[in-house]
Amino acid sequence: MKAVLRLIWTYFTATRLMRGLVVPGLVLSGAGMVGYLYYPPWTLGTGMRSSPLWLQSVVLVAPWLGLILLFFASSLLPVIIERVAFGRMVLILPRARVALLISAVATAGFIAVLTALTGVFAFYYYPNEIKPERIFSRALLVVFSDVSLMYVALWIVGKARGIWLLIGSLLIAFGILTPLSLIGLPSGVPAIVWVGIGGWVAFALLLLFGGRLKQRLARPLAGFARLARRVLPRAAYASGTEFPLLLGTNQPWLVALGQAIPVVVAAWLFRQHTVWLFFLTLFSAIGGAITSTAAARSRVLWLRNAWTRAELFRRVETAYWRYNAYPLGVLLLLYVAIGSYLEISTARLAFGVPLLALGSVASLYLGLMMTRGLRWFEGALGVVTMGLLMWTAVTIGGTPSGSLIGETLDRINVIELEVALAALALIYRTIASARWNTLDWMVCRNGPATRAAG
Amino acid sequence: MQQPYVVARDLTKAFDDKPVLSGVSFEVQAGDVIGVLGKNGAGKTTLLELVLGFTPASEGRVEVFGHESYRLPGAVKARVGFVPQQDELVNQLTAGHQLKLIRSFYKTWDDALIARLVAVWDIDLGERVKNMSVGQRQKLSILLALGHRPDLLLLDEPVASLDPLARRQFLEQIVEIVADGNRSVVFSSHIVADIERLANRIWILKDGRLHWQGDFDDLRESIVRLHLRGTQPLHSQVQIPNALAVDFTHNHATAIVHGWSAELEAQITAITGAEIEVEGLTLEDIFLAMHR
Repeated sequence: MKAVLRLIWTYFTATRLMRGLVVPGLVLSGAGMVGYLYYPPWTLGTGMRSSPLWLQSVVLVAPWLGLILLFFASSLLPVIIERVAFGRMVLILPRARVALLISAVATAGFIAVLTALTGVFAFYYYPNEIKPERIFSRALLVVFSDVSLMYVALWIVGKARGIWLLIGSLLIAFGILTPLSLIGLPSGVPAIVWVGIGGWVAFALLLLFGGRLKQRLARPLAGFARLARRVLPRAAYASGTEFPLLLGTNQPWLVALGQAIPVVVAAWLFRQHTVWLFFLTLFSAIGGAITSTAAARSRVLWLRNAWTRAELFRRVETAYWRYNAYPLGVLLLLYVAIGSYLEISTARLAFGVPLLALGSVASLYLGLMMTRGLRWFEGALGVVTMGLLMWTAVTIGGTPSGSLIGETLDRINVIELEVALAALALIYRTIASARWNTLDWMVCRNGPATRAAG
Repeated sequence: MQQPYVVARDLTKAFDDKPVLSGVSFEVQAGDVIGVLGKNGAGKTTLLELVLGFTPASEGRVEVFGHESYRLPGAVKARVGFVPQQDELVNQLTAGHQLKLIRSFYKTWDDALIARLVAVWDIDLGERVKNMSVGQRQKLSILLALGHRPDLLLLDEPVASLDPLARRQFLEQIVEIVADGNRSVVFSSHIVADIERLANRIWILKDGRLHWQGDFDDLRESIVRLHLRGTQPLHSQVQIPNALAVDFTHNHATAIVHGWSAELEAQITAITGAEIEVEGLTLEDIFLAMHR
């Protein structure tokens, strides 16, 4: 019990940032729930007291913002679980597996319960067709599952550096909000709940019995591995592939195909063009963002070649353009194919194509700018860029149903936004080029080894 | 006599049919301080990980406090401490948070010991783990393994990243831990001088087997350097029994032999007719001679 409580406490308070998020998170969600009782957001014309629009907006948003802050405050959960459960600590610490499992369920459950309570408070004065217990149970299940999946997303994102972290965080914020619409579905259990339950069962089984399973399967797996080694061609170094191999751009198809699955799933889940394009734009930015590790990786190339730093930049830039062509190409093909299937207008599709390309290019240069890791300046630019990309996506997509019923597309506005994005990409390139001319490999990698050496 | 803390019988471990350890048997008694020596890849880490139950043995069995190591119950784990070769600290936490987190898993925790070591080793508890130097991280890992006062402490290259001062302090700490005679330490290291200073028993791993296991004093008495001085030139064809290494120079020869005894002395004298002078060896010399 002591370990479980300590783990939960650590998830929420281990760093200054976490502590900075958890306090406003609790205050906003708590105060927001009370606020709902005095300024009910959804009364459906039941004659409740009216209040200024700004106050209604603040009251409406506050608890949800608080819940999102609380979720991010607990973002150390996947990191700590990975470190303890996947390492040897779990084998040494007494009853560590059970403690980890309970702490993870309790943390996700805590956020889900708060969200479910917020839902109940939000609909407190709503006409009686929706029973509070129904709101509570549906919200609890959906949010518990969604938060759990978002922890997995955080874990994946946490393994990456630089701009991946930023983009992943935005993706997660988006992932938190989207399932809220699933809570309101008229009947049945939303698919995400089954995904969540399946995920937890698999996680619990792996955590509690993974070791024994591994032992049981050790022999058959070793046999299978031997067979695979004989049958499959071995990955080997081939002359002429040094540059992409050292830069990490040798497997563009992996990313290209890897993104196809979530894109198709997103098209199935979010049939509104706006939401879907929003999602695709995020992916285009992720594809480009691999460059945030370029500076650190390029040292080995510089050491082994007679290039100046300027020449190195040009070569790296070309390599990433070539690399990004694959995921971007697949993304554009999917966009046009699925967009046509969903009967999205040709004009909207046509404007979406340059948006995706610009997303990829802007993030490519933003990543190349990161010669000193992700600092406030780059972080702010990342937020601005993502904001601009999302704004453009929403402008192209129109209101959720508008694009399908002939809502007018503001072409001038879209062109302006896309020109702004192109200009931003050009500025990023200029900054990146200048920074690479004075690239300092002692500071471009923010690892402990560098610090120790410094 | 107290039951051994660890008992291993015919332990074999292979990865992908490539044997790392074959037929290894040993015991760890209360009060033992065992130094494990071996070349890179000799199987030192594998041996320690088998004891800890991190990996199942391909054949044979290890018992820790009477329980099969691969299925150690929580109560037994609470009696074991481990310092891995590569630390498994959580980068995002501060040293203080890391200590509190690990402390929460144990019923007993020696706060006074930790506070003393934190002061002596100059560990900044407010520093984030990822900002700590390799040596500081290693010190923190050692604290995490010592805090619950384990009966059995296993250390895999614990001092590799420590400066000489911290190494000396660490060794003093180990001596203090085992002073009551109820605790045991098994540690691997390439710093032979540390093992020499600390260990009362030595395990030497070679070719996947425990080439030597026994008291350090026995090892030093068993493996010695002989200076042979003959009245006639000594020929290189002369076979010196139990020799690990021999160098001939005219009527002088130097040989390192194992299993040194009065019988062996008589045997060598009979074969060579030379006068024998016996010289004791350092552990490093013994290790090098064994691996010639």
